[in-house]
Amino acid sequence: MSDLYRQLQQHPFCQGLDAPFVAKLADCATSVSFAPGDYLAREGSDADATYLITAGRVALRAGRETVETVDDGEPLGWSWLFDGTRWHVDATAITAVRAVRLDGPALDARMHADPAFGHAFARHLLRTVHGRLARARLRSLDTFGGPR
Amino acid sequence: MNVDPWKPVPMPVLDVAMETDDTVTLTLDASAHPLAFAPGQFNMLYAFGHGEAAISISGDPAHPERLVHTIRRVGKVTTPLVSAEPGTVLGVRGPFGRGWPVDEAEGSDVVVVAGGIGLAPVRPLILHLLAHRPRFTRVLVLVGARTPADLLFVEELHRWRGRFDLDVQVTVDRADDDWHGPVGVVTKLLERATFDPEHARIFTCGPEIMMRFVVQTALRRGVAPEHVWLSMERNMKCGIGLCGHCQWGPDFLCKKGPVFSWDVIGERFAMEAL
Repeated sequence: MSDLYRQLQQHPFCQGLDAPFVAKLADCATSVSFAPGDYLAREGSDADATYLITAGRVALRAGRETVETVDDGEPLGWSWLFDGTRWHVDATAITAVRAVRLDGPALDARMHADPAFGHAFARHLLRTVHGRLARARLRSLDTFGGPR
Repeated sequence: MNVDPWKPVPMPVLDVAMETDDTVTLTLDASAHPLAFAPGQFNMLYAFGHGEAAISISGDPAHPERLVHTIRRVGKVTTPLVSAEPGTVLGVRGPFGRGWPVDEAEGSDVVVVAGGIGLAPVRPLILHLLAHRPRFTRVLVLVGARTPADLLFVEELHRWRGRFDLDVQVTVDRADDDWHGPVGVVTKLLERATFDPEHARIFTCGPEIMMRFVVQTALRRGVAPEHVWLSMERNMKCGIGLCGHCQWGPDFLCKKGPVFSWDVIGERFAMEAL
């Protein structure tokens, strides 16, 4: 059992994912780390990876404004699922960060080759997108802006 | 409560603390008329010549001789209240309403979720929980604000974060790169928080739309509707359930509330024009 496989198996994103599917993820994975201030992604650059954050905090920034932070246990980045997509925001390490980098094109190929794996991975990703969307809705309401 | 609930008791302002650019915390000298209160109750504060406003008590229930209110400037009564200086005399009626069910929460994990000015009404609750900390299992305080500059009780939040028996987490909706804490809505803190949903009480206060999302998250995590409590504050006027200004469905919030459990009021949230 590889160290990467173990990291993936323990990551909350992979909870409920069958072991053979986790192994497929491990085939596309590398372990990465970032120092505070490092960019995981730059706005406008090719989106080619998903990061599963295992430790630390990442800021998603539009200009100087941080729109959301992504913490350990969360995935970051899914734009590679859609051809030719680029990162919409900067992703910057606020603290030291450790993550598992999943290579988008390699993962995409495996998703096409094994639809059951593709379905399972997409559902897991969709759960994250769903949560992000719900939070974006609440944030867009600017609930603290007016009188209570 | 005062003998005559209609009659404001004059109390001088002892201290004024600026919390944000539009919010202050006033400490009133209640030593001549200590008002024992329960966490979650409110007073009617009278700015003479301007009128009355319902303001939650934000002080320590163990020290009713120092009556503390945190007030945001939003209208014609709160504007003079926020402008009060030490020595200014305000009228006080109260305390009114039903507070947080702290006794019923004993033996449970307690998760306090506050947003914006909603941290003020739960401050007495937090102080009570800390004063009786062994009676509860986990205690979590999850705080959301619009920006770091909008956070209330910042020094106290830092002190609380230094305790080993309390989990305090703070998030803001937006920030620049001087802020190294979480950025995101307060419900995300609740999604990630460590507590036992089967044995937890959720106490939340903030804008209604925020509380609605907090409830959804709590229920999704498995907390029973009767264990989710909200502080509702709308148009309180008389404070004693007579005038009807604060009527919400079958209840006068000033008397039956402001604190309700979700199983009691959940359906009303879905009703239009209520």
